[in-house]
Amino acid sequence: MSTIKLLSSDNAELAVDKEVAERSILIKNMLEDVGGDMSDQAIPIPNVNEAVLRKVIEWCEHHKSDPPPPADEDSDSRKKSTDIEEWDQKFMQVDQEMLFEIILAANYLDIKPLLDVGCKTVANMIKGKSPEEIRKTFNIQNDFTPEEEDQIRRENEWAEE
Amino acid sequence: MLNITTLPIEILSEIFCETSSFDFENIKRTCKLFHSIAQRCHPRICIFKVDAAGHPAWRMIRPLLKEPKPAEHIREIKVEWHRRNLTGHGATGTEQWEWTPDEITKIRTVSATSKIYPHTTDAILAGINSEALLPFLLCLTPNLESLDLGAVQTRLVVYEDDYTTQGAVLKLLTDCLKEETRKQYSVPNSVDYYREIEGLDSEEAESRVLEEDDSYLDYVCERLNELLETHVPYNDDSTNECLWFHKMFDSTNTWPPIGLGKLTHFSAIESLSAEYGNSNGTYENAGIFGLPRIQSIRMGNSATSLPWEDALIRLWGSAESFKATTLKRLELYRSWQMTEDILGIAKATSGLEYVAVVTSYCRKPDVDVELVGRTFLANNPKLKRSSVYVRNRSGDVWGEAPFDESKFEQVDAE
Repeated sequence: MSTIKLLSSDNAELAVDKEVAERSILIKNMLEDVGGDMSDQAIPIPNVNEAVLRKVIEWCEHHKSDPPPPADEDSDSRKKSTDIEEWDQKFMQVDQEMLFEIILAANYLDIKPLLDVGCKTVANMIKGKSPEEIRKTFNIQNDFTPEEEDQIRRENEWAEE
Repeated sequence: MLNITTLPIEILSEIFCETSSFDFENIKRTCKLFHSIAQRCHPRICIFKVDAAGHPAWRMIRPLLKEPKPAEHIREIKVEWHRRNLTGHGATGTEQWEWTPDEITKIRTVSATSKIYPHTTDAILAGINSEALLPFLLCLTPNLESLDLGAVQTRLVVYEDDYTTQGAVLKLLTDCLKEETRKQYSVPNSVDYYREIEGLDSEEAESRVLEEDDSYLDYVCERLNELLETHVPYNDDSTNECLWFHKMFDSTNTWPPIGLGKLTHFSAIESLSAEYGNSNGTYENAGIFGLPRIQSIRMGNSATSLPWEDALIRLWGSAESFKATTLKRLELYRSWQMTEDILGIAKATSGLEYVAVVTSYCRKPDVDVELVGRTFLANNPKLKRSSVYVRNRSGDVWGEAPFDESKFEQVDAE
């Protein structure tokens, strides 16, 4: 099995199985463009630092034999939205900054299933929380004036009384 | 430091879409950025709360009557049952819901074009049983993929089945009525009843109460039935046990039922108090199998008092031609079908990859687990003994598939 090298934003060189790295559609397309042979030259990943890149590679390793995601949004294997498999749940037990870094990296590297898991993890942190609890969880400032808050409460027709 | 608000807008909207309609309102009230993003995207998950205090099910439909587009984004509906509960503590009643004349017109129009069962529309307009809104909502959700009916409570009021509690049930229901209609159904206490309505003097009245004479109870029941018939119309034979959702499967005039054409996952952990003693549920159960894209079915306490074959004939004219080819995963728990009904289901499937059937049929002979298991294997080439689990009431088991009963045990949360 061939190995390729990735160069993180902080100049760390990481060796990865080609098959694993190709979970990233960005890298896969790059390799195809250059004809597949990148054995002596490291691919620069300028947006992702070493710690995050290692984490992303760990995920790709674990999921290397997953079937490719369906192209069609409508398709069968779309999982129920709340489902995150156990390994992924554990994998995502990181501090918030790392969680957001992983999401950004998955977005940049074009790893859709990892991006989905990341988004669902954040969504689960929001579910069932009041606005104040959401602000506390994510350290967000309330930038509404009292008048604006009133206005929004009036728009709020889905919610309970 | 990286903060959630520094994530790109398209990622934030992706995150928000993974939450429910209830979370959306809280998200909007968090900060300006979240508000502006949540204004432009829509939740995929809808939590439908039946009769919850604060009546959010009615509230949820109101904006959709003005602008139904957001409902097209709904991929998943989860139903929660918050019926008025006599045995529970605290306020469980929800007030009668009132529609504006404009809304009534719209409801009638949608009901007519979508061929909603007429009594369902009546129940929606009467504003007491919010469950009736579920089939209505389903007319507006063409992209629904997953429907979880939860632990169904068909009864408006949850109570122990006892004639003497009818008065309390009546009281609970009248309490939620509008002031002017409430008086019409209020009943005097038993002593006053004998005095005022039967014209007895106090002494006689009190002795009748001590004798536990039935005429007062009869009177209360009559009033209760009157209230139910006027405000919460049931099906034609006025039985108290009817799930409006079932009525979507009553005929094949509009097939598949609107909103269920893309459904891939169906789940219902029906609670025992749903008491499917009559034909309710029969067509629904068979009808779910016939949905064009259905892939997984999980049904608890499913019953067919009519044989499975009759249900198929009623729906599709013939039992022979019916095939549920898209179905991959089937779980029937505490199913009340007889051996031949389950064999009928087995013969109608062909693409199953997992099947678990746990039966509760109570008459002899008990369900033949080996025959059922082998029939599933014979009709579904992808099944193996390790992906089949059949258990009957006596505890005989055939097949080695793992089966997680806990998924069905979250019944009766209250």
